[in-house]
Amino acid sequence: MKNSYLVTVYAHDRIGLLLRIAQLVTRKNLSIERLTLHESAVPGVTWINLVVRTDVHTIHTLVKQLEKQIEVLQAFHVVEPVRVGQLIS
Amino acid sequence: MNEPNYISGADAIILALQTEGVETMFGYPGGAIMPLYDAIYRFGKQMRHILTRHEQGAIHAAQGFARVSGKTGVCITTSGPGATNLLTGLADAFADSTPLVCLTGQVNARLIGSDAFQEADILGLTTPVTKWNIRITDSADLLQGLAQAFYIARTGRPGPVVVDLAKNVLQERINFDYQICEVMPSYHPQPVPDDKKIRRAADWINQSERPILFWGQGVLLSDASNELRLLIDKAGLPAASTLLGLSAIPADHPLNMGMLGMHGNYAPNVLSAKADLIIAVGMRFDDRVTSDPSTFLPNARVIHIDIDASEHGKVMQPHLAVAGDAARVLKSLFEYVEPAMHEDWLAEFTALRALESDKIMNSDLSLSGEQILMGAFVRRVSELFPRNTLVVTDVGQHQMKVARYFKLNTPRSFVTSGGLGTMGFGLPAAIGAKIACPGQPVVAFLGDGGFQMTMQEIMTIVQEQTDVKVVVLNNGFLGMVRQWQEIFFAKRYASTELLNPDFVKVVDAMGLPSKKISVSSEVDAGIEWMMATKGPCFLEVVTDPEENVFPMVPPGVPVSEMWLEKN
Repeated sequence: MKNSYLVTVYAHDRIGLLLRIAQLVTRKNLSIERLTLHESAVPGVTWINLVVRTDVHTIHTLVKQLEKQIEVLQAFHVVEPVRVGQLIS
Repeated sequence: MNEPNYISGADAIILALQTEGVETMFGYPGGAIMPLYDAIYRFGKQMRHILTRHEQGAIHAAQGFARVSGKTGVCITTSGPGATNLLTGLADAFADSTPLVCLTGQVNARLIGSDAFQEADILGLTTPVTKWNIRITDSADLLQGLAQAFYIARTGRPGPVVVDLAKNVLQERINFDYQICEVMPSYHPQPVPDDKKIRRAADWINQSERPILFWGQGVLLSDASNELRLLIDKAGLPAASTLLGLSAIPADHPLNMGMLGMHGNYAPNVLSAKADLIIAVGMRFDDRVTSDPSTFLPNARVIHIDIDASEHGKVMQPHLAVAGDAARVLKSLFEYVEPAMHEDWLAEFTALRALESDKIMNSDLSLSGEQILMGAFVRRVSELFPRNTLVVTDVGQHQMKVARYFKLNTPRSFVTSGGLGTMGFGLPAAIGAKIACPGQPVVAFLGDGGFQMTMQEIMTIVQEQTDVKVVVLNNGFLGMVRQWQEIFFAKRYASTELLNPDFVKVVDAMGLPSKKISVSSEVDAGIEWMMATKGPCFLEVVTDPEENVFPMVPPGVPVSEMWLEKN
């Protein structure tokens, strides 16, 4: 069953970081429904939030692959699927 | 405090490479990388540079070098087309976890983004096929970038790294204070295996009645051949390898049941469905091994040991996942397992092995017919060449015949393109393998199709006098595709028949001793000619045009229902 998952990534910022994150999503044949990216409270560390619609197995493998990227400090997803309306800020 | 030591970026790169223990590089010069080539020239014999005939040849040679030596292969190309020509090799090295550092030229930093001559977005192009990549536009970042590149390429699960060097970085002067990188804050290449999980794995092994150990290239990459052998000997575990794991344990070891997968051995494939426990070490459950994963290992608990935690659960959900280096985990497991024998279980392997011999191997290895069979030729080379021979293959039917019939004895003695299946890989990879291990004989087995993808590298062999024995098994077809057309497309041979040149004349014109054999009675003489020829040589072996590779797991069919012959 497919759901929208909110994935959070903290990573050292550098040229090419977003591309590296995005291509992992592309490789899973997923589109990014929503993406925000800004500097975190720690200077030089970028906070990326992205929402993808997929199944629970794919989201687990995607997060593990995000986590193994060299610059990535931490990657995780919310266990509960994102509900409609939750993302409107 | 040391006095500042200002040198050009290009000279600094050479000194950095020397600090990393690099003695040999493979590459092809061009505009943007010329300052680095000038430094290579000025450093003279301190650094060996192998000029290939195409950048794809350079990277495959660097891969061959890395695979047999365990060292990081280094490849240098210019910007634009020089760098884009690396993409296939990068994807191959990424799929097969080969440590590489590729230095690519880039246009001057002030021109980046202006569509300058020979400019391409190499950072963008290589991101999906590299473990890491970095573009250096400021010489102040050069040394740290290089040190991190080598650290990332060789540690953890190894992989290819690209360092894209703007031309100004090579020319600007910097203080050379290179430090080898040993830690990066966000990168943890050596997960510490959980001892409780290893103890549980040992308990499961001790309880198991029908265990099989599957091993992959991770065992070779962590130099864990001895640990693996000790474990299987102590616990009496029948073991089977993936294509890339071959050579970790000698082919004749009584518990080595051969190769898994589509054209692997019958016994481990069929009995994997009866096994009650699978211990998978340093392998990633590729679809060529599992066929349909939902039908794979229906009765087994699965223990998956891999240094890369993202492999756990990617294809198969293991019952127990251990993240850690193969050598370390196998060593601990050895302490915890109890000595065991599984005689009845081993007898089942022996019976199926006999069936495979009877149905397939005896005819595959026969030299009694007039036409030469690929497997029979490969087995004779295996019997006549020294035990420490390094074997390199291209991709296709000949690759499977070599994997099945060449008796590999020493770790890292087999180089082949596994995950990506890159035709054209074999010849340049063999050059790199020979340069890494000059004291060992190197035989490259190629098909007539793959040979013609990179055959210009024969000139690299001639120029460098690299002692590679090149064998082309010529069946006049793109044989593996033809086999599938025969079985699944009612013999409609669409674009698989090749009109080949006279290979012996072509290679002879390039300056390599060449010979052709076409009947079985010439096989021994042909092999002896190769062994007697001093230096590199070329042997064309004309083979049966419509020979097939069996056994075979057709797509979608469970591995336990592997075909011994065409249905």
